[in-house]
Amino acid sequence: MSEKQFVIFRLGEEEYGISILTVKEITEYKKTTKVPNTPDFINGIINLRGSIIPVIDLKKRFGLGCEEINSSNRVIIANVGEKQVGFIVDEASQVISLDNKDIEKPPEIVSGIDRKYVIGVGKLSDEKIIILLDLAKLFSDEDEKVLFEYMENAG
Amino acid sequence: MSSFDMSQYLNVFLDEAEEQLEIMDEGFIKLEQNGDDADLLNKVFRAAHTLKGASASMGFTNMAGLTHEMENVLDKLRQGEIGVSQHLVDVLLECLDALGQMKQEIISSGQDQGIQTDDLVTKLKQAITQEEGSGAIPESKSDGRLERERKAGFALSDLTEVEKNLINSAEIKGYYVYRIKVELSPGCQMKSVRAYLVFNNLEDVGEIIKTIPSTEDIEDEKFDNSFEIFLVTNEDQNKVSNIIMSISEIEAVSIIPVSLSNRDTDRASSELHNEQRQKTETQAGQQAQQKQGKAAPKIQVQPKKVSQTIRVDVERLENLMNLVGELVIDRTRLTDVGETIKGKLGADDVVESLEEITVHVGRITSELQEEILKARMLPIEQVFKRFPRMVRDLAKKANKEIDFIVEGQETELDRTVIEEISDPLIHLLRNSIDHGIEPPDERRQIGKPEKGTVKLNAFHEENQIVITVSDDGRGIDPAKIRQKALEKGLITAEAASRMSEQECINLIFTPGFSTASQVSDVSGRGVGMDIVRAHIEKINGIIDIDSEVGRGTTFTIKLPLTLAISRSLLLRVRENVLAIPLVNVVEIIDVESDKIYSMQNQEVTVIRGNVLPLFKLDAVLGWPPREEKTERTKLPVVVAGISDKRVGFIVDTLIGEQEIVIKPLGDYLGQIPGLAGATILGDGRVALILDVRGLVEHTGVRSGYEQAN
Repeated sequence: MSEKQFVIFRLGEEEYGISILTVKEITEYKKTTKVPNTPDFINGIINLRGSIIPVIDLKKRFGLGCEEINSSNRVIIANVGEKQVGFIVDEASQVISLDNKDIEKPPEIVSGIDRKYVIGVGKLSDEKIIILLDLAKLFSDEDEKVLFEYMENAG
Repeated sequence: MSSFDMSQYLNVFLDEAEEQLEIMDEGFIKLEQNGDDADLLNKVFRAAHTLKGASASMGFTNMAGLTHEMENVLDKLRQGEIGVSQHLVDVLLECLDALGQMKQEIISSGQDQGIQTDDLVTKLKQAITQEEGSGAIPESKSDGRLERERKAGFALSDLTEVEKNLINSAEIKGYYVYRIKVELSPGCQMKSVRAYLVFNNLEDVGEIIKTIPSTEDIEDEKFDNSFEIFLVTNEDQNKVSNIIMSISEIEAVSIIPVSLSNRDTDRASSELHNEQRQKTETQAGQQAQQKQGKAAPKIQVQPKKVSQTIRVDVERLENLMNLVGELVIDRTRLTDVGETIKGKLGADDVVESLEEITVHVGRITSELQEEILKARMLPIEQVFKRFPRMVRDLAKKANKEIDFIVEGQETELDRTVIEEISDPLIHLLRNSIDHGIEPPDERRQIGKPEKGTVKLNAFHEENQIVITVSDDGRGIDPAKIRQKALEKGLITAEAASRMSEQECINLIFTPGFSTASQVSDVSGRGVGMDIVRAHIEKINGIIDIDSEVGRGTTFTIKLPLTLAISRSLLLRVRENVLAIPLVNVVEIIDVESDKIYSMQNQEVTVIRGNVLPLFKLDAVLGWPPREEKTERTKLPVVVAGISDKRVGFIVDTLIGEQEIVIKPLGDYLGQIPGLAGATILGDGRVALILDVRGLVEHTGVRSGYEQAN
């Protein structure tokens, strides 16, 4: 029986999980450098030990509201393909293991988040449900096109 | 050799082939002018020979076959049997092109059979027949020289490449190499025993690397009364001679010191590819200098210079560069922390030693940075060496006579810059030849020498590389350019009438000014000049034109030494720190707020009689207008320039000048209009680097300081 580990984070009231293999580290949110002419879900860029990394406001990206972001927020630095990207979340504290049998196909209707980013739903022992995301999908061609179009218009 | 093994050597072979082709390319062009240069002939002959050997051993028979024929021709030239003619050089160059194609074919398909060489071989053979007999004159000129060459070459003539390598490495280690001829007494009974004794005694003081005839033959007494030995030793000639003479029944011993570096000129060049290379004494040194194409007169005696090199992966250098970049940032941070501590503790011993260390670390970091920058530097020769051939071909095609002068090939610049500069230079040279230099008749009529001169020069100036491309052709006529631009609707008649001559000339950089088909109508130039400028500005360079009708044109390109680190002006707009590359900063001025006027809805100020358009930097960057209006009497304005455009950006405060490491914004964000990248400041924060070109374009300002009416 194979097991997978997921990092659990919170966006608003909902809890989500991403594969631990993609997570490089989790840091406290520090003020980012704002980049002009970028979509508003790009919070800015940060210096991660000498590399410049873009930070994405995940709540804005998924259209889950836009609250003030402060140092109580966490930034999950994830490897997405070759790139490193930071995601702002409300809280990220837990790592869970899920058996394959506890992961179900995503339901037809997922509240809030576009279904294409959801790879499954994890069932925890206490009947809690975790939505498992594939953040790499955020960087699919289609999504990037949206980003670039935005930037071209801005420019 | 199995195909698997081959692939291992293929890259080495291709490198080698590339190098030999370059040597030949360069050599053939020079041959046209200096047909009787024995050094040159030897060099190209060796190149052909090496390539033949290498291609044959890799199984590229087609290439080997062609080089073999070329070698024949070159040998005849070298021996003075035939002379150099333009036709011959043409044929040789054609062969070279074919070899280049074969090389490409090998890269793409692993074999070299697709190129037809029969025609070329026939041409080569015909060329020999034609030239035979005509070589008498060059030979008499160079006879003495060739003779000397041959003599010097004698000591080496029987060596294989492997043995030469042995000798070479022995030389590097400081050993002597002798070619010893031993003659036995006429009545010697047991020749092989004598020979054995000679070997045995010599083995005590050194190493025998070759005998003539072979050792087996000597043991079988298959030789007359003499045999020869190549000995590597650290004893001097007399000692060696004494050792041999102490053996009975030896009639005579003659010893010739062997030095590869002294003679084997192409060795020096092919050695460039070896991990270690020794460059010693006159000829090799001279050769290297010629290779660098110094136009300076040949220096006959050069001090002995040994330099050793090692090949390093470029990626390593890039990594080193990045690490040093980090160090540069930390150095700045260290200084900041030092200041803070000093502020807290005041004058204290610890603070003082911290300061001392900071200064020292700073100095070492700077030196390290400089050294690594230097390690990434390549001589611009890398680019320049391709041009003589191109100029020759273009000139021939255009039926023009051109003297192409190249200077400063040894000027070094960062390899990233080198990669980018080639295309613009080709454009400029092409333009000079096509449109700049007049046809010979026309030149004669106006009293110019029939042969036009195109000069390419590179040199360092302060922290920049300057490259100039100049010609003594007809120059650019501003009136015609103005006319053309009007016809094309690039400028309005009103604007045209106000333009100075220089501004008119600069119009050739306007996109859409000219296309290849129309350019010949204009007496100027303009094939893709906008592309040229875009290329150069992409690598933070500047291009200027200086042209005088009838006298010629000079293009001056100024480039940064490196693209990785730039001196920048740091400034603050609201809470953001921004960096502007100093290259683009023309000046910094304080503008009093009552000196800001509004002209056609555009804020402007007047400096030195010129109108300067002003923009609030935050507005240009697309930040929402700030809420609180602070009334300031004096506004710091950074005047930025891209080519002839001048724009003033109003900022909040200026922080200062600093060396920054340019980092890309990352794949995800990609290129953002107005931004060139980001850098990490001393306190670890990220600052955006502005792309002045993008910003200026964004403002829509068309030309420079507009004349105040």
